[in-house]
Amino acid sequence: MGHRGVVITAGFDKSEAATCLAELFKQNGIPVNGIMVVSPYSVLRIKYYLKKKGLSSITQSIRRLKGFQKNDSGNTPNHINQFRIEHQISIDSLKKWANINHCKIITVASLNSDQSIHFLESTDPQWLVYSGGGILKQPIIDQVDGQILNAHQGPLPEIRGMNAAEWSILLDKKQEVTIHLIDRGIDTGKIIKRLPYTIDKKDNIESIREKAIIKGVEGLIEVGSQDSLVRYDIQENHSQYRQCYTLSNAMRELLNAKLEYLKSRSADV
Amino acid sequence: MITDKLEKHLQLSIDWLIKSKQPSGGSSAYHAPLLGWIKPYPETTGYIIPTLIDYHHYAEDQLAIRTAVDFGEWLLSIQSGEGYWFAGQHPPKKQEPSVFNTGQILFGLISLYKETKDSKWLTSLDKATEWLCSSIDRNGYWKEGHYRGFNPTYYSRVAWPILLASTVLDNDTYRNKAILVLDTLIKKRNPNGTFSGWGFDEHGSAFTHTIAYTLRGFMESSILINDWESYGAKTERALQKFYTLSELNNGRLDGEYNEQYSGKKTYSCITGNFQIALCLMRWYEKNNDLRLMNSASKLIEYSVKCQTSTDSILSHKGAIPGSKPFWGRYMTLRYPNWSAKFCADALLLFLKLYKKESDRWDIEES
Repeated sequence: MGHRGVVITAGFDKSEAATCLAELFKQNGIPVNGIMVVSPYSVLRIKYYLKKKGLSSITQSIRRLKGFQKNDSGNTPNHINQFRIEHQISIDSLKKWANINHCKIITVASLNSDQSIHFLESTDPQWLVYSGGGILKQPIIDQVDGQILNAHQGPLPEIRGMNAAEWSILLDKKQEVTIHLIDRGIDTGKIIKRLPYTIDKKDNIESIREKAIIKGVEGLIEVGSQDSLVRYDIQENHSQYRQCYTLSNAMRELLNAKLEYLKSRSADV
Repeated sequence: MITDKLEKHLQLSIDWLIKSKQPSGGSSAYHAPLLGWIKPYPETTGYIIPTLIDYHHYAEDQLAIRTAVDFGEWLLSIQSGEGYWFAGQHPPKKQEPSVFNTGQILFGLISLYKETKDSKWLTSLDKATEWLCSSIDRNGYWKEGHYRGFNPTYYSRVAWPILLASTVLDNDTYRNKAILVLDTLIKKRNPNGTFSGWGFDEHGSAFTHTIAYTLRGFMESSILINDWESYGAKTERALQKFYTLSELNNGRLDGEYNEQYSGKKTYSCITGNFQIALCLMRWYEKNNDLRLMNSASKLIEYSVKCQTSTDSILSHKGAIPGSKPFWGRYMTLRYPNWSAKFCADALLLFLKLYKKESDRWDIEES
């Protein structure tokens, strides 16, 4: 049986990771059966951000949703831009990409909605490739028989949850992206592949995150291009490690200090 | 720098605590709009003393240490002949001995003895501890001297200073009595990690203030007797829950929780937030997981924003309200001295641990 193609999720239309995934799957000859974009403008989502993170998070999100670069410092390379140039990816919108490539695309209020489940039913992918859009619940996991790939920006099982690239530095863990299956837990699904990366003297937090995104895209393209996982040494994951959350202001300051220190000590960290 | 900001909050808290000193000698229980400073409160005056001494060591503040000694002198002057202190503010409406208040004053006496080596603190400490221990029955309960007629689980925070006193006084009887109390109280732990009776009432919701009293009492007692498993480990489930709740709500905990962790969302108990932050930081010191510091710093960053920076009809420079909003259920429309105390304690510990973590990487000042 051949590869049945992939469906990609995204948290917003201009998601850099998702556009890279769509284009690179195409370049690899893997059909992109569909794209599911979560509407960033749903009342629920705006209410959530207002309640949890305040008004400033809304303005920050709008900048990101509109595709403004976060890492525009003159001294630090923009790794994602370089990656896009290397792979000749010029398109910056999933809707445009889907239109040009005659690919099904839907905008949903939630990845867990009935609309999403019907979409997956009709597109019947080999893999649902997760590239943002919120936590997945059991019905959608069941719909694709758990065949959901995620690129987590830190080493599992030690660093699970949010800001994983940052926490890897703070907790003295390896810098690596973990490709794993998604299950009901937070980053607790089986581990498929690990992709280490290095930090160099020009990096800052944003550029490190970009490196992790690129590694994640590479890993998802490699694994998602297979029609099974037989070639991988699948490892059980464990959830006994404490879940990570977004860094507090104080911890972010500590992280920047640690990063400067590490960079001052060697070229590659 | 966030640490610079936190240092300013720390100094404001200490300055306010020093200002809380009343002509009689104790620290006013609270400041309230229109009412101003209220009568002094022996219980909290007692446990503010170590805060002032710690700050003196941190910032070489002479006024802080002088105030701590003055607070101590006042407490000696109102100690009963039997060794206890009365419940409530001073002078009390009813002359009733208080187990909890007497226990909290031990913290002050121990700190003053360690700082000055003056035997008068030790004499008072011995008398108070003797009274506390002689009132414990064979089942580990006090028969009288309660706030609301029962032995609350936050008496773990009485066992803790008794253990401290037993070390300073080299008295195994006191130590054994404290352990008897802890063994009795730990049985009130529910399978989900909450404790029955950890609030001011025997049943129902508890303020995070008394929840943190309970957890910290068990944690510190375990550390003192070098036996984490018996009590400290049994607080971990609740601590993990508050770690997560703080993270999910960006440093805001509900003001009170019932025994199923269902919170009262209408207000946050600012005092309790600082105390839970202290518990998380003490847990971090035990297991070195920096994630706990993240959660603690969110609680601190959220709560210090409630500190008032000016004097006006409703505010009082440096004061920390009991609740957010100010009219929340815990210490409604008041600035308790223990809010400022736990704020200062949390900031002192946070700044110490932050520096320790920075020093670990040998970061050079830029």
